[in-house]
Amino acid sequence: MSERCANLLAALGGLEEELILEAAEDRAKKRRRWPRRLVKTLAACAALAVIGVGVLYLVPTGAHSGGSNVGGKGDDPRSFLLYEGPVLPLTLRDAREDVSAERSVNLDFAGWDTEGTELLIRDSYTLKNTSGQDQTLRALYPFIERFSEVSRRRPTLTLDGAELETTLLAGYYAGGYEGPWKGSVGGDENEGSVNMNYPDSWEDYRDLLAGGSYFDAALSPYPDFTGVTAWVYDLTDPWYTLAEGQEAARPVLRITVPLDYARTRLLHTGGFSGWSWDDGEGWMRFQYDIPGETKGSYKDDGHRTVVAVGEEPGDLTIEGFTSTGDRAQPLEAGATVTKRAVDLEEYLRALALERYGGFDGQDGRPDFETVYGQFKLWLVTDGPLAQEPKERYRDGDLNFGEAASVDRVLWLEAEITVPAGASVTLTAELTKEGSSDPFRSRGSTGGAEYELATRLGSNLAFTHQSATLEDRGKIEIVRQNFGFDLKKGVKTVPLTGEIYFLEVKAKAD
Amino acid sequence: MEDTELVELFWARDESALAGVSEKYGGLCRQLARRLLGSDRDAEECVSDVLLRLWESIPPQRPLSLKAYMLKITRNLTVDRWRGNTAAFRAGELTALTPELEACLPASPSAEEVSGERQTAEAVDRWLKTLSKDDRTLFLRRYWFGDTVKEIARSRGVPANRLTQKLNRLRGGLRRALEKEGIVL
Repeated sequence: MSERCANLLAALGGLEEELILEAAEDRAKKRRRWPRRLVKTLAACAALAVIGVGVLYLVPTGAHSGGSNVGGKGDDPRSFLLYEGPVLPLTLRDAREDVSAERSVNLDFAGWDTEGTELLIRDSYTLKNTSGQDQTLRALYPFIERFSEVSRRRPTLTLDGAELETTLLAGYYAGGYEGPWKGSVGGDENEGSVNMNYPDSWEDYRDLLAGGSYFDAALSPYPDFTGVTAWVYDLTDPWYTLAEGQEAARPVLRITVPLDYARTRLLHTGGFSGWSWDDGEGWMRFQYDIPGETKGSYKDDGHRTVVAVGEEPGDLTIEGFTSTGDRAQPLEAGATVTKRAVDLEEYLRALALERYGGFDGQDGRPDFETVYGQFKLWLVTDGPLAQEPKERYRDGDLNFGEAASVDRVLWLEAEITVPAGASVTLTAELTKEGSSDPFRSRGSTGGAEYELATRLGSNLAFTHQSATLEDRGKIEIVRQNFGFDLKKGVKTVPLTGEIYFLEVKAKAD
Repeated sequence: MEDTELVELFWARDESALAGVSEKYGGLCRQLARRLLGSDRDAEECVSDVLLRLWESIPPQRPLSLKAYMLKITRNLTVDRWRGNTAAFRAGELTALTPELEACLPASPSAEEVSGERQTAEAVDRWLKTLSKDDRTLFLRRYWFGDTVKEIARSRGVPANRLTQKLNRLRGGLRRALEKEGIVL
């Protein structure tokens, strides 16, 4: 980022309050979470090698199953622009033939109104041990969320009323990527991977979870870069000298690293205003503004860091220019460059500890190792150390924020014992936002849809499932396939299909 | 509690004012900071700093809109925190916004004295007021609040591509306006 850009960013903070309030009102009317779109496919199975570092990491992305049997009546579930994903059923770490389950789901609209679509869900499982021995199980309750929101959305698990201690298991990013013009007119054929493409229908989660490979990956160890040498180039104290009569509107340094991209990857820790590469010629180039005098509270010390992973690259070169663009003239300039060899694992861990320090495993938050592990997984599957990095990450930026902010399936794991010939009741209590679609609801009162999967991703032997609706007089049903009938008082129904949906809107006064 | 009552509590040095504003606008400020910084921890710390700044600034200030006042403090502290972070730890929408904002930068033909933040803000204010409300709020939602183009597009029911093009034009318009006003960044 250039200092000039930072100045503009800061100056925007001083705009008139009336203008800020006007924009705040505009966004408050429609404020939503990050939108999601249809994920077409993920690679069936990708063997991803970190170039030259001797790490091979296999990430299965789930087998794609065929069509679904929706069951029930009414229309099928739909895709959404703002998709929250279905409520998923409990599963076990290891399937047990002598344990059966009866499930009852309570859908409570007590906290629901036109301003919020948070549904209170009480998802109960009566687990029956039909054997003559006590059974100790590792129960896993899945939910769809991003790390940054887990503390707010983490379900509470109880066993016969007593709260269970749980540990968090995490799946990788649940979505895919798309080109920059996907979805625009004439853009459907546009390939690319520069933008996130979140799941937008239950089928996306069905495809993700079917076959169990996604869950298996969540149990797999994270990549370990211990013993992998990386070369850290620290650039400090950038300078430039103007020749007589020369002017530099925006003095910049350009750093060029000669490398074979198939054998060496470059990472950086940010602060560059531009980058480019040429695989054929064999170089990668970064550019940044030479800081001027410090203004305000912003202090750019001119320190930038580039990290080479794989084969040691050749000597980097530094050039100075009077500005960016076609009219830039060479400028006498340079910086102090120090190079050191580091252990990649130690180096990344130190960075991550500062970046992910808030993930401490307390108050429902994920622990550091889980978030850091998913960051490393991102590095080698989609990120700059992947065999084929997504375009979004091709510049090598160590994007710590991404791992914390993408949707994924998570599981709460708890060990429970079911006595011989007896039953216990495990209950998950959680809240769930409704999925919605501004295009469809535009001009109407708007609605929210909730989905419930009965068997997706579960290895439990269910003997019966049912759902109970507590409408609290607050909602009207727009469409559904549960079979509820509020007028006739049918509020509890059996569940025999695979996926159920319920679209509601606020009840008219 | 009404804003005016909260402001009176600040003037009376009644610490319940902090609880009041925290309850009323804390979530909004936290959401803005979290979005711009991409970090829960930084956002929490930022909101704490906002409350401290409120306590220190009222009195003597008597803001007409406590909401706008808090949002502005939040954003300013957020930007300060983001700028103060080492590059490795910059994340959130602020990081995504900077490449776009580069297109708003006026040409600086020589090493002139850099314009002050207030002078620049006033120039941007004037430019914003020449826009339609839709365009004005679009620009501010993207570059002040950090809303993504897709979010704005879906809330307005228009293709993201259209907004991307419009934002591109708006950035060019701001650059020309700043050049016309002689702003140097």
